[in-house]
Amino acid sequence: MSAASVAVDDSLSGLGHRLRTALTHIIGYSGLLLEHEEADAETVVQLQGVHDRAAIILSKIEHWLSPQLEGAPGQRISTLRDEIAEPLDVIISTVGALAQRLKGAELLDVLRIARACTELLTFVQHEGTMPGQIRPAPLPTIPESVKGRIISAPARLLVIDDNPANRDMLNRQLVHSGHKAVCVESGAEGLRLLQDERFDLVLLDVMMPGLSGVDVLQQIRNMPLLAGVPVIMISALDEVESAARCIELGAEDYLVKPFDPVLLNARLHSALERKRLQEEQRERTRQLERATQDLKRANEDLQAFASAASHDLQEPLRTVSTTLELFSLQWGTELSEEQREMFRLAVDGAGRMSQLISDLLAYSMAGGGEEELEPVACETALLEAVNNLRQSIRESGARITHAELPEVLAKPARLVQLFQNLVGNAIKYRGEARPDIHVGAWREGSEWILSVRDNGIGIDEKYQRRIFQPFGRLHGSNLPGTGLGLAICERIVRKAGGRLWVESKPGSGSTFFFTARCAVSHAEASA
Amino acid sequence: MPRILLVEDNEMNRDMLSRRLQKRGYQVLLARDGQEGMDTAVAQLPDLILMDMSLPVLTGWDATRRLKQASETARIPVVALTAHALSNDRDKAMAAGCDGYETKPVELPRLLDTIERLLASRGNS
Repeated sequence: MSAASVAVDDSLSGLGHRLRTALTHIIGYSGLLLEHEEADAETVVQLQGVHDRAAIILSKIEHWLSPQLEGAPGQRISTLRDEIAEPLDVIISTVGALAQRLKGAELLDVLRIARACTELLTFVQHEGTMPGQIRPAPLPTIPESVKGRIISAPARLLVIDDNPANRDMLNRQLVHSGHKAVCVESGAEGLRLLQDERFDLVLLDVMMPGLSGVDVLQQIRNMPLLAGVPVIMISALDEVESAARCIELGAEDYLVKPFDPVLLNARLHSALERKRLQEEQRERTRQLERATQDLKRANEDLQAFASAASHDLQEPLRTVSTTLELFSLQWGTELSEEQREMFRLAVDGAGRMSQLISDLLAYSMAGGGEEELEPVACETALLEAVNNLRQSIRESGARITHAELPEVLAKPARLVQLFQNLVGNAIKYRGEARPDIHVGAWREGSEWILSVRDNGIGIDEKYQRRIFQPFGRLHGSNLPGTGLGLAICERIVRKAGGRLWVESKPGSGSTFFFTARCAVSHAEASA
Repeated sequence: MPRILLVEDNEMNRDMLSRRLQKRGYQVLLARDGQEGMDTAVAQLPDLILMDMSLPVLTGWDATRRLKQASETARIPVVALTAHALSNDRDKAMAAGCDGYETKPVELPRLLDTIERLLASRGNS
């Protein structure tokens, strides 16, 4: 091999080494980022794209710079440049997009990839250079495809900078991005404008004569009117410390001169987006609060109505009942058997109507919202319900047992009512045998499933839905009851966030199930 | 936890590779040039060495040769890492005493296999 070709080989291999090193970084860091489990689908696709294209570029470098290949080195280098320009361009755009989305340590890795890209870009953009003669890279130019990639809604921006050249440049860049910019040369003037006109964001120079950037920032942050207006500090490279301090004083971000237009755009977009989202969130919270208030009021109105209605209906009923009874006491002995029977019907009717009104009231009150739930021991509630039913338990000879019962989130009085209705039904709808009722419970995830099992007459499958509806009675007036019992149960359970259902077969008894939330937090319970 | 000494002069390469190895449960020691690599190998006696071949102060080849000649470090497996894809690079590395050879950019699964294989066989020797 001649000396010249050895020299060429060496410088070619030097070039190859440089390019390969840059690709190692691109491939390595994109690989590293792909190993993050929490990456979202779009990020993964983009990283994979970067990784794959870098591999393509690598294979082209191996091919064109291989010592085995024929052809003049200058020609080979030129061809290599042409072939890697496009995949490199795609990598750079993708990296730009990733840089906007990722944060923290991941963003640092993306910036490392970007740095490696500039090495490759330097190579691609230097026409007619022999290897070994590559000049130190100037600031790389950003391909047109990446410029203006970020599109924000046009905003009104205030620029406060004492330097006319800076103001002019910023103005042009901001207008080019579609925003409206107002530029002033002093903090005092800026503050005046801020009081009179609306701005979406302020770009504030750190170093100014008179009122300094820091002073202006503090004054802005002291004005509650401007609380939602982000401030981005503009600083020179050696003022970064003071700019960083500004962030502690309430500035959103800082930019270093000279500006990279893409970076400027990205920062503006980020600050404006954040402001927009915060406003949106505030509005939504307001709407939510209003809706909740409306709902609360409607519920209170309903209960008040039901209460008043119940009272106003019960009163005349009592009059009817009392009058009938007095009449019976006074002249009962003078009545015929038939007349006495008619009286009994009338008194009975009044009594049933009274019961119905009470139950309707109970039904309307059965709605307890989530906020009113508290930890309640099921065993305590069950015992109270059983106590309330002691008469019918005694009369029927019913036997009631229970497993170990948990604490659940409920309204205490409602839980008692729930058990009372379910156990009461179990006794009422008994079969030939003595009523045997068992209350059980088991845990599924963050809820408890409670069961009330009986050995009564059972319920045909086709009626198992209907029984939960108000007045969905199956047995007419043969058995006492207003037809609201299960509807009340259903409402109580539903309002507490649970479900109520039944499993039953005629002749084999019924088991009613309902769910309730655990009273201890899931974390505590599984500790 | 197996300890791997990574001798690599490029900062980003060191960062990238050490993080990926640490994620997979290896403890990683770092050295920036051939001399530091040798000193660290003698002092720490790692279970395996990843040696970049193009290093300042002392080249990877020389460092490997010396480590293989010293009795305390002779049995530590050395995997050469090189960005040059020229075929005589591989021969040079093997001649210096390397037990394995990988080209950069590193294909991580293959490197991991090589590391595992060399660590396992060392355990049996």
